[in-house]
Amino acid sequence: MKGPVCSLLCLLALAGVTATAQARVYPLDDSLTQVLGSSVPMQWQHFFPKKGQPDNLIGQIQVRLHLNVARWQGQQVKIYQLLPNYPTGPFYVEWRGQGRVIDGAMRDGERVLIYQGLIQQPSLEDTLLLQITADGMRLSRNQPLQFKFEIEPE
Amino acid sequence: MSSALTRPLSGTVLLLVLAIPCAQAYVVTINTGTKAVYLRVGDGTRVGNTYANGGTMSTGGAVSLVQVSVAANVVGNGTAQQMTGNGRLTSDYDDFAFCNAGQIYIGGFFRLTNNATQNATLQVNAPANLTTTGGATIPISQISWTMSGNGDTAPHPIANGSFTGGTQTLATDFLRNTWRETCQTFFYANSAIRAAGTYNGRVVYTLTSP
Repeated sequence: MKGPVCSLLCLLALAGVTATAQARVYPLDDSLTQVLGSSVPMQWQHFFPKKGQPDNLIGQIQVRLHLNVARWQGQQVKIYQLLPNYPTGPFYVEWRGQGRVIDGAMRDGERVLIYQGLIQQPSLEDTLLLQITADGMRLSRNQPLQFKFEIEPE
Repeated sequence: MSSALTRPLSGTVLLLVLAIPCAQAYVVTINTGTKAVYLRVGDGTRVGNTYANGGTMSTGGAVSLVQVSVAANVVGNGTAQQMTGNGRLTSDYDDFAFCNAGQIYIGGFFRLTNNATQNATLQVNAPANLTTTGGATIPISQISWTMSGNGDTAPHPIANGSFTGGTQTLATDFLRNTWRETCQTFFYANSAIRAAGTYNGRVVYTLTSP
């Protein structure tokens, strides 16, 4: 009897640790974010690629980022941008903002820090210019890329 | 034991539920890019550097003229007469002198997103006859060609042949995302005596993507 009880208690303890760790990462509401355009007009990076040169497609679009961070106002936080894996990838995304979020780059399947510091306003807003690179040999139809955000209070 | 189990598990579920606010995901949809097809026959123009170095294609260039004057003493003797074309001889891909004087350069390319094995098709449309202004004719089938290219060891996309009149397929293997080029040398069969005059005809090449 001791064995199973101990195992159950260990499981419960583990569940508690997991719950505590998960509780410190919260998905962010970005429902007020606006993508300025219906889709990214992709162009061939090299219309006539040299031998060995990738057949990449490249395109840009502006995004008015609006993250609802009211709940964490007055707290030190880290905010991450996530892009899930796509079978038609890899997708490479670079972005430049107006200084509110950290400029950076990521591939699909990655989670990248875009903000670290004190939350002073109920929302975190910036206008981003996204440049997206896709493999022209794998992209056979329009592909929606779903960006998500997570916040970690420090 | 069962109550001890229930409490922590309920707590876990509660924490998870609280940790899911109204999260969204903003969506950027990227399109597949433009399908593109390019063909140069004879002359042709481009903007900027060679294509291998970032240049881009443009529409233009003169319509090439391929001609031969048959000396009176050999008219209709069955000895084929090589014809002479004009137009640029260099490849726009890298400026290499791919064709020799008198040949007609043919180069093409088509762009397709995804890795499906799909080829573009090169066709030519020719009149049934070459004609003079007075109405004399020479069957277009009297005009044949051979294919070559300087320093080229790869099979040429077009086989040697002759015009049949109407639309005929020259090549079905313009593979997507692959540059294809070749040089065409024309011959007049000279197999019959014809009325003196200048015989003209226009042929039109078309590269069609799937």
